[in-house]
Amino acid sequence: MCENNAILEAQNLTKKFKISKNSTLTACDDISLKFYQGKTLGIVGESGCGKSTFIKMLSLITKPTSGEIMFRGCDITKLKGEEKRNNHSHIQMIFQNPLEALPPRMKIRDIICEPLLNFKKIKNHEKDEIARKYLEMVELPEEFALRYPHHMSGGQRQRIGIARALVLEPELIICDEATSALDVSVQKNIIELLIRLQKQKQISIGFICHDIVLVSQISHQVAVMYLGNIVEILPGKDLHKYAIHPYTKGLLHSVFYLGMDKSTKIDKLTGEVPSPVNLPNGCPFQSRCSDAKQLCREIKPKLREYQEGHMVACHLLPIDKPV
Amino acid sequence: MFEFRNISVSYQTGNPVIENFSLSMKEGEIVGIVGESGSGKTTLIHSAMGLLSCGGKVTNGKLTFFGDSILDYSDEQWRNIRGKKIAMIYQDSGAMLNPIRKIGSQYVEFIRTHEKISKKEAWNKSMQLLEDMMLSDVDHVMNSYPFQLSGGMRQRVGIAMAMTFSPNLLLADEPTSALDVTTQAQIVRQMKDLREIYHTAIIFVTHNIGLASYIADRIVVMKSGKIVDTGTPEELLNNPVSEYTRKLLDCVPTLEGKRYV
Repeated sequence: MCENNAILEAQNLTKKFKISKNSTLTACDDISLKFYQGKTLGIVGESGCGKSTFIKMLSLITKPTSGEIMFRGCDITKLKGEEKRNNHSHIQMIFQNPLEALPPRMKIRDIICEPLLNFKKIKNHEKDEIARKYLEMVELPEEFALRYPHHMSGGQRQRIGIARALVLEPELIICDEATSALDVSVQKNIIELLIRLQKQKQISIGFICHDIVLVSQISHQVAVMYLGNIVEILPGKDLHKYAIHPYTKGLLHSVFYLGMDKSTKIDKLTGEVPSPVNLPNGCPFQSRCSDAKQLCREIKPKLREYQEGHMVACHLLPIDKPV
Repeated sequence: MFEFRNISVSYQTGNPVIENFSLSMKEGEIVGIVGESGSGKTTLIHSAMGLLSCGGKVTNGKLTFFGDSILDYSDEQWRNIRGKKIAMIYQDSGAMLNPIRKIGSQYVEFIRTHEKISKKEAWNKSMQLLEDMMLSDVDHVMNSYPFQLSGGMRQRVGIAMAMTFSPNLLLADEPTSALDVTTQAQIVRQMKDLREIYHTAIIFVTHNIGLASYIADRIVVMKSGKIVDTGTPEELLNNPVSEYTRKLLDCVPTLEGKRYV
């Protein structure tokens, strides 16, 4: 992939929360990722692995402890005041629960146009026309402009969420579990809509999800997170064939797919994700990895290139060239 | 053993939420009920527990449990089978448990309402059941409040409680939907083992058709309160009768399936 197309780059982002005098919670540890124009980067992981903290830092809701976020060559973590506010128009979010993310007392028209009014891009009397244009874009009837969020179904609300994220013509849209609360058939429609809009407008998408199968279907690149660390970055295409990190494999084996042989024992990961408070040294995955060796308990593996476009952090894999 | 015979359920508004639903369960059978939200899955199993809320009523048909029509049961009779012969697991057992009491004290109370045994015995019994659910450090679990446990642990506590009296029928309402995939895989395996150990029949309500096809002997697909398709997982996946099932199968993301980008 061409280096120049990276529109947003997270460099060594770390976020630590101090929870008491002697204990720190490490939500994100040294994360470096790139978002390319017109491409989708999927981020998978279980709950508590730091996905949400990571994207909150990207959208400047949370301030990172250390590290940089380069957007078009400038570090946006250093921005303040008006500049920081303006930056929000480049990065927009779509949330998991659209009912909570949409103000219940505003009409759809006002919700869609609110960002534009905030940035003084339109006048009040233009609202109607713009709302209708965006409703059409997300395939909803124009009459919806005068409705309230509670008049709509979950899928329709999520479309409003997408419309609101699009009005500012952002370069990056981050979807935080945007389809997790929806039925499968609705999920499929929303995904198709997102992908079509992405192709039309060449937007980059950061897609956060816990469903590794869905992520692999819609992402160009997938980053797998575990306990605040990226353990593997690989292309979304044929992800299940190339995945080599034991955690990624464990995730894949936990999926129930159609037409599965019932006699197959699910090769499950044992145990649960340990607490991110006061992490031990070494590999974050050591407590659940069946092959963990002494080395894994002492030194934390770094992300290394395994093949082109495929990075993995594991001591047990035969990789020579460090990145 | 348990049979829904042509039942219809409606709430106050009058429109039936479930219409002419029939299903008969054999002992030790696992039936998966699949459908999208609003298809009446939860209403169905609440009706089997006699727990319909807000003026919900079975307006038509019969529910039989070992030949007895349970719809005619008195409150007293209901109390005898509920929790003991027919048990239920909820989507989030954390919400079922009392947040301000420790697991141990709730568990002991639950056992003692159904059985006349001493606190000590009840405590030991619950420890044993929790251990069977592969919870490590049972002492710690018994002395914790629900919020101190992870989602997977809470769900295991919920299952252990439901299995306390080896019920004949277990109603599971989306028991793994709120869990992470790795935990989900663990719990699903354990539920399959339950059938081997206790010979319990399970009605497994889920929206994940892939999961249903793994765990169930028979799948029922519901849409707007009606059965649209039924059969073994193989039959359903290979030759779905209804257009709706076909659509539903088509929407499920698969590893080798279509890529959008």
